[in-house]
Amino acid sequence: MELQKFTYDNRMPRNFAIATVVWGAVGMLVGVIAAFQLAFPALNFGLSFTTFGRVRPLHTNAVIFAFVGNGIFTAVYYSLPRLLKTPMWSNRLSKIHFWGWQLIIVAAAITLLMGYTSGKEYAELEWPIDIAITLIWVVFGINMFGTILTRRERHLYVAIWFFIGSWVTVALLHIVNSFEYPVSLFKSYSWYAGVQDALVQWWYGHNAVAFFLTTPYLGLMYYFLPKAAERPIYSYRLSIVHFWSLIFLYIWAGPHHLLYTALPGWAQSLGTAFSIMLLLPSWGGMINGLFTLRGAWDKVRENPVLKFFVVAVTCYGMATFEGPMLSLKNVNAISHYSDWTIAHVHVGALGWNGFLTFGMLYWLVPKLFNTKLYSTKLAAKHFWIGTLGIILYAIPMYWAAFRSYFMMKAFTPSGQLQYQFIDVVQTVVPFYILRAIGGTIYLTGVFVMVYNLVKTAKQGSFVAFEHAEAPALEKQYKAPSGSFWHAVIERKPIMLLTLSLIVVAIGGMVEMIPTFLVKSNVPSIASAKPYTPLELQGRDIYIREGCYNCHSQMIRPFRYEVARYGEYSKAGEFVYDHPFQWGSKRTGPDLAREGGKYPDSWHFNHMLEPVSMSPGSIMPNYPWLYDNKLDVGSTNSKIHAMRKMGVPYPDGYESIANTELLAQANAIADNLKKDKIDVKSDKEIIALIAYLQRLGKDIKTDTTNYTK
Amino acid sequence: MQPIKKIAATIILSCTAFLTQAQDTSKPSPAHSVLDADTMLVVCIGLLAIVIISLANTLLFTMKYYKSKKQQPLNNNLKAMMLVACILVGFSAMAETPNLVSNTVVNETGTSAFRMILYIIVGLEMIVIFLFTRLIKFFMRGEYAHEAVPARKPLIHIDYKKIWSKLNRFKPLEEEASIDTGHSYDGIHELNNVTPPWFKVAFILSIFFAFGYMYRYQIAKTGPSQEEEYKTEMAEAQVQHEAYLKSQKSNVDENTVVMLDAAGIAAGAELFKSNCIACHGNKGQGGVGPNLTDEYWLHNGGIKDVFKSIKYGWKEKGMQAWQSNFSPEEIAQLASFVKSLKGSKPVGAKDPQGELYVETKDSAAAKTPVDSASKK
Repeated sequence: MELQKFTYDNRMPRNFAIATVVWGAVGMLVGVIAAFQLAFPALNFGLSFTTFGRVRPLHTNAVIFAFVGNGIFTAVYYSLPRLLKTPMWSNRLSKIHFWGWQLIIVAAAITLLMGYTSGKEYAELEWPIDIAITLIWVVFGINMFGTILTRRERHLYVAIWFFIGSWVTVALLHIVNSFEYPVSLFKSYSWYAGVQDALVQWWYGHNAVAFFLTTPYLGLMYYFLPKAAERPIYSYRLSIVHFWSLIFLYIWAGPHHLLYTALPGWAQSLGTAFSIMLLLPSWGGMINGLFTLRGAWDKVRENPVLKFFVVAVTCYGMATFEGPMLSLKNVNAISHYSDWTIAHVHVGALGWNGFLTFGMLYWLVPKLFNTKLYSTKLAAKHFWIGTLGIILYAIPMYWAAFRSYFMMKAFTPSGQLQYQFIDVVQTVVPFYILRAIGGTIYLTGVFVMVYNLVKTAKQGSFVAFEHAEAPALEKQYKAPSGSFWHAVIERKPIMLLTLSLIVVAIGGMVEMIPTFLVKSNVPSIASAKPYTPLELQGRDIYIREGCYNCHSQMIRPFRYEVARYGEYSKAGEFVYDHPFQWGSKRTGPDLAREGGKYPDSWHFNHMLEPVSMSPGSIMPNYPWLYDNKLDVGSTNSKIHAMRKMGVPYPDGYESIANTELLAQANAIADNLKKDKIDVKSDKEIIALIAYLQRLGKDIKTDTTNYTK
Repeated sequence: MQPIKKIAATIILSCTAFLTQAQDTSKPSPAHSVLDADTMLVVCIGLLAIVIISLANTLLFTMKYYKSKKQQPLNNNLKAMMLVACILVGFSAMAETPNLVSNTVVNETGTSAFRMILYIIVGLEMIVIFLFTRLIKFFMRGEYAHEAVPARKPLIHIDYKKIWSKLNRFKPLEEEASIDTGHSYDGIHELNNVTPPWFKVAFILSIFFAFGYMYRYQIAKTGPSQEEEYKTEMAEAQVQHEAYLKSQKSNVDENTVVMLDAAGIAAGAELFKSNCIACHGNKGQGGVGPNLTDEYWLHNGGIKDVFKSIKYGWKEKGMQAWQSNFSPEEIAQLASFVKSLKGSKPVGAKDPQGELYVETKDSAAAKTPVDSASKK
């Protein structure tokens, strides 16, 4: 067999590695800032683009799509050619992929801070960027499959299965969840409404964790861990079992983010059931990773790369154990809306994604620069600083969650809520400070790593191209007799792709199609009316300022929630909510029944300076809402878009929409005047007040409790 | 490196001081706290145990380490770990004491199944965290691996390694070649070890659990739906409440409320200060809400009327119903305090709203016996 010569291009993995480090540091820094903002509201600075509601989405998007995203690409662009004995298929596509992705990140950072958001968690980016993501993702896919199809290795290694499965599923998730109706260049409405939007969003949200943060990183682990440990993978058959079961089961688990909400009970139960089954397939990855280190544990003590890997895999095991526990409904009743979720996520993000990335970089950078790591000692120190950071981050959050839960549900013997919401807030603030310190420590570790890696690069010289040789694949292949059936799939990448797609499509379809088509899943409420034009505009301000980051709009059927917030939420109330705004965390109180709870003037004062109405509040001030004029020019297109999506505004309503808007605004301004507040009716705050006063009023709520 | 560590340590230390302060101010009033005491206790003990275990571990290792390297300064990592452990313990003590000390009344609404699950979860989480600390211990040992640690002789000899190896059906490392798949991807080989038996069993069990769960909640419907759970919870609360009412001698409502004495008014003043001044002003002069010190009332100004306004609120005007927040007695105290403000003429009083309210004989009936006497 004639050997063919080819070269591996190391420039791409190097570029992606640099991007990983840079965006990682930026994203985590933003996270630390957001964490301190929760403890010290003054750090919001009273400016729209530095306020928590916009900063927090920037943090989540940056660490997920910029840090981990570039981490995935680093791993793929380094490992894929080597596992397939061929260079990446197209150098041009590689470049488009790299620069396109970085451009998207920059665009995301700018638009998010400017308040352009779709209001759906982890999918906040507006439609032009969504399209750009799709295009770049396709470019990545073509490049990856081009490489796979021109390979010189007959069978695909398990890491590549994970890359393929992740690629196709992320494409599916992104496209389905991003169905939106553009209103203007940077404004769109989710195609789905209320319960359906919630289901699609958390199908996406949960599986963004699954197929962006988990499966590609399992691929990364399967390449870099055996490489660094110089040990064979523990079990090939375990790889097969856990790959297929993981991707099949993962996709179903989304509804566990919506337990005790207005989502139909059967979908909730499916979410729980599949989450439980998900535990062992997840642990399959952990077992295969840790057992691969059998016989290499003496190396683990000395080698910081392996240390990082071991803790990363252990954190993965912890997080994937905790996940199924949290989806048991009794546990979820405690954890949902609380800091427990935040702790859970960060054990995964800081431990699994962070440490795996760090380990990879400590292994890869010396390889790329043909040298040794500048300081192993410093890397070991980073390991300790990072571990400390994780512990100091997680424990206060767990603590805060339990404390706030017991305070929230405490009743006095005479049947009254024992604590006001503000009491709970003030109790958890010290924990927020501790958490922010934990995050800072972790970030310090990252800077230590940056120093170490830069020094490493400087002392070596970059190897742009590595030469290699291998024979081409023969056209005719006959499998040796007795070879395992799965090997067939391993040498047919398109079949693998198709099977992965089928396997992941099943769960989503079973859950979504009935929720969309069967009427009884969302019992309609006759009194539910579309928003008035002013309320609609106010709602868009609510979305723009990211209020959903701290306020839920979904009261669960628990005594303590009904007593605190009002009658529990019904599915039919949300049919005109494009997008839904149920939220996932209650840093502030639920707002589902905020309408009419306080006078207009209360809201006016409160939004300007929350502590004036609610002493001890950690909510930021929103002074710009009092200067900005409401953009009434957009009313018509918004009404139009809503009608297109099935909101029953009468035909021709556009022509009178702004007249009605003005009338309602004037009424609110007049009402404020009665309370000695002089404000022009064309300010944004008026629209926001209109929206807040509308919340939860569609059904007659009997908020008086059982004592009456 | 050094300066970074020092800065970090300083920050942490200063925060401890700060946190102790913060905890003091945020202590919830222990007046009549009803917490699910035993659950609370389990959680607290669980968390404390974790912290203590990690602290003990760290201390143990530090001591050993210190002994072995008497002349050298403490390893920085260990120092940092100790610092954190100390903080967490001190902090936790501060944070939890008030709740444990306060006289808690057991709330029976939590079902036993719920509690069982909670215990199990906390237990399992503890195990996982414990394993994590073991891992950390393992790494710490690595930092002075060359110091010989004298082997301890256990009382009962259990060969954990052997059990572990059996549990996973490990192939001895020497026989690895026999299960090599022959794959080599960029030099990565793959073994074909059997899937650990416990893994298979657990996976099958979890599938059974999932099907059982679906059957119970969606097909047989023997498990309660969330609406049913809610109804049960509310019914239990109702029973509890009725029992409470029976046990209370003076159960006031809007029909029986009377103006309270000076002590009652003073109690009302306290409640007013912490709940009402945002809208009604610190002296009742009004703000977002109406002025309470004049003779004009939007919803009448008798003690019974005021009681009713506080209890049920006037939602459309922004006055919330407070009956979920205050006991009837507290509402009576508040109403009495509000009534006592009449004519106090505070600075910056809001313009009168509503109608002039004149105390009628009926509404003031119980106020002064003299009044009722004079009517006769």
